[in-house]
Amino acid sequence: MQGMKKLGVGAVALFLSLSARADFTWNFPEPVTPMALDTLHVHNKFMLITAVIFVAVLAIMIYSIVTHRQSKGYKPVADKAPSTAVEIFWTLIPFAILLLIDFVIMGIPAYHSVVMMEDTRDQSTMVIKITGSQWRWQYEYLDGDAKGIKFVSNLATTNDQMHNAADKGEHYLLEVDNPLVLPVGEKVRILMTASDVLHNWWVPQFGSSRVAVPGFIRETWVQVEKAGVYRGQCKELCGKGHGYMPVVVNAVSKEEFAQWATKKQGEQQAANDVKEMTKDELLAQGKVVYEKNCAVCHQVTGAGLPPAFPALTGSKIATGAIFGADGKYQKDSHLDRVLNGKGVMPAWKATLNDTEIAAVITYERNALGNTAAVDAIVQPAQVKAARE
Amino acid sequence: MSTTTVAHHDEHHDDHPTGIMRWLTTTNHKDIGTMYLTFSLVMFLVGGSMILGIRAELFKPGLQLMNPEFFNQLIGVHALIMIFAALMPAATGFANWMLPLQIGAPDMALPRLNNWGFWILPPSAILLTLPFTLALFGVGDGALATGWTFYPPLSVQGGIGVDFAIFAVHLLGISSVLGSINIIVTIYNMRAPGMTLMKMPMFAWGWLITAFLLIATIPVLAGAVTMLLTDRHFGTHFFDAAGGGDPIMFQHLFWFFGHPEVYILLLPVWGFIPQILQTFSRKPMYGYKAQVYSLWAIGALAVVVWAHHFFTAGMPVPALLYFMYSTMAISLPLAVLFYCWIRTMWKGSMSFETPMLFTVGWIILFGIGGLTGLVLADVAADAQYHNSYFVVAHFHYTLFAGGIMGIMAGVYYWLPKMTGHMYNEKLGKTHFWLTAISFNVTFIPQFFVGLAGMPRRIPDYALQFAEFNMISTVGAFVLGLSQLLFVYIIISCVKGGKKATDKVWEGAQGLEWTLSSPPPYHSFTEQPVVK
Amino acid sequence: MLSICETQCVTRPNASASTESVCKLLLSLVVFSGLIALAFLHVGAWMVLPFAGLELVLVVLAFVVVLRHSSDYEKITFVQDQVEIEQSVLGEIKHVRFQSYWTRITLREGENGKTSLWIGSHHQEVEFGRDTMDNAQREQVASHLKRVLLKTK
Repeated sequence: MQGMKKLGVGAVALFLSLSARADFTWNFPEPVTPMALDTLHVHNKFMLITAVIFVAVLAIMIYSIVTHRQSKGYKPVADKAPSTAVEIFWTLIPFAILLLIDFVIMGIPAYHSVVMMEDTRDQSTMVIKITGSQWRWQYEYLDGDAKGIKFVSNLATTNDQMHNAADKGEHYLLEVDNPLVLPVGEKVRILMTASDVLHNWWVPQFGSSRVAVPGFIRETWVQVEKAGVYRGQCKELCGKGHGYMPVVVNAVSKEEFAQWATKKQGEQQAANDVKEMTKDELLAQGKVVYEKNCAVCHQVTGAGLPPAFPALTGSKIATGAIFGADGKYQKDSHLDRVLNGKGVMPAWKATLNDTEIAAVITYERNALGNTAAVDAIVQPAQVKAARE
Repeated sequence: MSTTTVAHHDEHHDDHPTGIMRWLTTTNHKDIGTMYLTFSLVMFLVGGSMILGIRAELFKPGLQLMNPEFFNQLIGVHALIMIFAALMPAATGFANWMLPLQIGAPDMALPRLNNWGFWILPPSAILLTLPFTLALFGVGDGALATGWTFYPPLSVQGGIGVDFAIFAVHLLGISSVLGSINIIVTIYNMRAPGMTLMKMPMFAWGWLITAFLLIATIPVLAGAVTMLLTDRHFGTHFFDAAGGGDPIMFQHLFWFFGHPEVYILLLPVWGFIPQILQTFSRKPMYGYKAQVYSLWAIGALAVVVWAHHFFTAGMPVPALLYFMYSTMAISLPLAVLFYCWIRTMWKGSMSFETPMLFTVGWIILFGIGGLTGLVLADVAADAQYHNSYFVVAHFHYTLFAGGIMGIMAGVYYWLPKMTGHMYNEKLGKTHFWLTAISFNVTFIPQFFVGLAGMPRRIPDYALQFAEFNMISTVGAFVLGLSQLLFVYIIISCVKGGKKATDKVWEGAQGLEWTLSSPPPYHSFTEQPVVK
Repeated sequence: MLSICETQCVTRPNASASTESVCKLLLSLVVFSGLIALAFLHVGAWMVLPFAGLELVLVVLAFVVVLRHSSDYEKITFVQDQVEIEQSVLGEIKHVRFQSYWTRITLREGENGKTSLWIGSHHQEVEFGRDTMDNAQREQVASHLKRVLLKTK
């Protein structure tokens, strides 16, 4: 008994310490969109209803357990089988109660929530396209101020932090290099797709979640009503990096959004300009691109994880010729593989720009223990030509 | 040529060899039942130790014990083993042991088929886990890493583990179908004279509907995984958008089987729970007819609600509404069942031996699973719950509390009948309290961590989820270790103990309690008659 | 199922399912599984169909195997000074006749506590009710036969 008491006190202390944490919550995190607010209301209401049912039924059971026991000498009631009519009457009572709860008390608000959730077009002022790929999100603004902006959002947490070799930051696993930026107050229609396997773009504070299906477009919407940084994760198992593709959304005022859009468009313009680069420039940028996009599978050292993810070090593709006699790239060459992918290897032509592809190929051919004898350097102009 | 014998040779063979051959060739329903139950117990421990590996990894943020690939393999194989190799064989084991006894039959209708049905299981369990071992020797990259749901395109992309799992699922499906056919034929044709369908024990009803569900849905699963196989190796495009297919079609196929599967796991338990209740309440079960009709209603609803498992995959609004309301409708017959169970206890003369403790605990915890299921049916809120730890907690309340704890109640209830010995009551009660408490310590935090936004199937998590995961892991280890006590109780009960009487429990009702404990090798050499 | 009267004993295997109820069951299974398979065929998942077909064949076979014995019977009739034993297995009827006077009834203990009932005369012996009766019924039949035979002697 003493032990039980201690255990109880310990449990209470533990729970108190938990609820004392400022960032901690026992329910959904604070909603910032109409949909999340609605979801929270529906959830709270349903939880309350089910809690009432549970407590009521439990109370009846406990009363029965305490009273109707043999050890108290309680005699079972005479086992006269009830008539069919009586039995039907009694068993229809719980049936009727649940009928009311399911289709009226719960069913009607649930209906309105569904209709609201699926209404992606009414009064939407902006469209963005989100593409999930293993294991990063790609964002593209399809209209408005930010039209044409397109970027990839990668996990920013370092390998050392994951393997407990470095201290974990406050937003461990929920931090990215390029967050999605959205204007506050605008209803944004989201087109969702994927390039390889299923993903699911989910920010708990937005209340929307939709599976990204390769080859299909799915729709949802968000309307963030409070400026801030909101974090979420992929929630459809998508392979080994499933736990490492967070979503970070930076909601800013409309003015700030317009400024950001102009700045970003300028940057993107500059990045897309194809210019001749030196080998050192290519290697420096290639290292950054490689470690962000390729090292997950092929490893930082290029050793890969055979048999699923082959080594790049000493690989025939990464050291063999790229261009044929006619100056065009050959099938199954290094450039072909990076641009178009094959099997598990994704196609990068939609994700990386010319400069990035040229840089990463050059890096792979001259670093990671490789020294390619032919086509050691690939220039952005060559990649641009290869795309055409 | 002095003797003429006219006899049917395909019904029984009476000679039974000893040693390993006895078990390999046996057609005796009790031997086969024992094998099913033993297999189930072993696989329960195997699947359990896999998940303890997972929980150990999730004890704190960061990667400590395993890489994400291995983590993904463990979660999927854990689920497949627990569902197909632990829970289903346990229910089939009870069916083999108890159905003939309860309906007054000398054996199952097709004894040899029964033997085959069992012996398919061990090879398929080996197929499922073999890739782990192969990977150690550098062959392939480990077991199936897609979760037990096999969703393409991830499963099309995966390694040989997926192929092994597909073959294993095929074999498990064949085994279930053979078992179901045998049970349907037995229940239809082998009942004692006078036992009409509406006089059958509830367990027989539960299993009959389970068998119907298996027969209706196993071909769909078999078709789905075969299409996956041809997509992987033979260039078809059933689930590939580039070839005109649709990855979401696989989800429809899979859950058309997968949702009834939940009831396949639970219906046999709903069958014997009222029998345990009436035994320990010392009065007949309440609302026999209402319960039978409710079981039928649940069986029927089970095959029309499948798409609530993937509301977030995108569906037209009318489809969302249909699946939402039909899912909610399952709560109607379940409410009737709960009412009948509690009404059976009401004004009885209850005593709380271990089977009754497990049954009462089962009603309460399964109730939580059912009620959270009702909330999950709501499409809008489901966008938040879906694939979060809230769902993980929900289905462990239905499948661990509602499935395995029910099976445990059955084990304690029938073990004295099967072995002829009483188990150690004190240890049994300890096992119950350890299981019930540590189960809640494991899964209540998962409800909250799910609401807070932690997705399932991730090997590492953000810092705000740390405390709850730590509690959950502690609970899981206590829960896992308590099951060693369960194994000890069973083994010591098989080996010896106080002699059990024929009736075992003071309030026991039903034909199985008219036989000796343990029952003779051939049950009912005298045909019982039900009045 | 056993019925005994003064001049005749008939026993049949216990079959709680009538052919009609089994047919209804099979028909509903075929319709239900067939509809499911056809619906999936309609959306392009044709591979469900062969599995469903194969499985239904198995179900039907299982019932056929079990039910083909349901019309079996074994009958003992006393005709004047003769004992006629008629055994019908799968529609094949076998007749054996013994002289009442010489007929011997033996009840033997078998393995596993199962008894067997033999009716014989001179060097010929026929087993009766091997799968259709239980021990108690065999004893009942044996004593009944012995009593009737005693009268004829």
